[in-house]
Amino acid sequence: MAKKYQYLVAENWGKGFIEINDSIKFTISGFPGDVWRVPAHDKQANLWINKVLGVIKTKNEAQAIVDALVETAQDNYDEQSDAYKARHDRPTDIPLEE
Amino acid sequence: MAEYKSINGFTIQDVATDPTINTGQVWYNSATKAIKLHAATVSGTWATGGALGAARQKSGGAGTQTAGLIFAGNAPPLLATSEEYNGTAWTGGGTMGTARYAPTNTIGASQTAGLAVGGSNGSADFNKTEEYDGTSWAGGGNYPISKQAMAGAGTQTAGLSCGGGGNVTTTNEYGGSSWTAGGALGTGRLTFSGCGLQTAGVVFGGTNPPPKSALTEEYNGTAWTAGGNLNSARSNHSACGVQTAALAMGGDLAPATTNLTEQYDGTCWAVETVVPVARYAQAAGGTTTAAFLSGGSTGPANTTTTYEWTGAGVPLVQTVTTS
Repeated sequence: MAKKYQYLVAENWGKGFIEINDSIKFTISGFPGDVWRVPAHDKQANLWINKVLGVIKTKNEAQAIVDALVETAQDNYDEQSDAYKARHDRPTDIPLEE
Repeated sequence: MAEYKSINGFTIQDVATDPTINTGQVWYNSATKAIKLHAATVSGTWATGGALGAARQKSGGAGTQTAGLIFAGNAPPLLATSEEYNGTAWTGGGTMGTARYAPTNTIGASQTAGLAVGGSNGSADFNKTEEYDGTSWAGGGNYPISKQAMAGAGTQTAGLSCGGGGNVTTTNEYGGSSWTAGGALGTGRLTFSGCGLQTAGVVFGGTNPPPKSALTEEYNGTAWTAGGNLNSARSNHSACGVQTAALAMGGDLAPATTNLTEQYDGTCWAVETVVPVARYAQAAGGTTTAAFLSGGSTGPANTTTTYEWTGAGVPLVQTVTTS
């Protein structure tokens, strides 16, 4: 089955990283670790990857980057006081789609 | 090959710079060698804006997309600093007297007339009010009770704050120097958001422990009445707009962080374009036409990222491409 998404790592530099016309043409989804997901086999998405100097990652490579940050955050949460935990949710795993 | 003119009897405008917005207009830009047109957005869109100087969550936000304000929050450490947005970049603003997180987010206040109410330092909640004049923060009238995670609406001289920790139903109105009691919320809650005016406010979502709330309530200056429910119950979300045209952005679902956006028309909430990154406890300001959403946490980390919202029907220039 053809891939639905492609993943990349790119530093979000702020203004102009995602422009309105980018968002109109295709969907950009971001995850912890500067991981971004865009449609596969999409010319406009590929042009955006070039614009942001994105480094393509496999889904498993991207998942590993996200998981490492989530696990660190979960460890930090687990060390907090009960009062803190009563007011904050524990960071949850973020499964990436194929 | 036939020329456009021979088919249609005229040529499109040939200019070196894009003309003034006139929806439907088509032209050729000789400088960029591109055919362009003025269209309009058919649904809301998100674009990145300038990055904050300090990553923070649970900050206050106010103002517009081109004159925004963010203040306080948790980096960590707790922050007393504020930053001002001009639509492109954030610059340092005045420093508050009290560092805190989760002050009431009085969206209607402007960059030059901000209002911070309540909040917490993690071990104690505050009743302190501070007013911003675009340069510096000064003390205002103390809130009647010490609370964090309240929702608010209105302005520096006609503000509104309600609910908060302990799921109280209390509402208080600010007149520019002191607080007076208003009508009680139907449902006490915390970590919810509000927008609009003191006499036409709206609040929605939140935690009414432990489940997330989808409830919306509208204020008329005297009493709260029920509005349409959010499609996705959430807490720690962000809000902007007015009672009849509001946005709910991001937040915490149970249990995951969300990127969902919803728009309120005074009666119902409709699902809108999602924020590129799921975050909670972000600061926001603006309207359903043009808003900013800044800071917050992805769960693993606090962020400096700003996203700018452009609502449906907003004119924009597009380049004609082939594929």
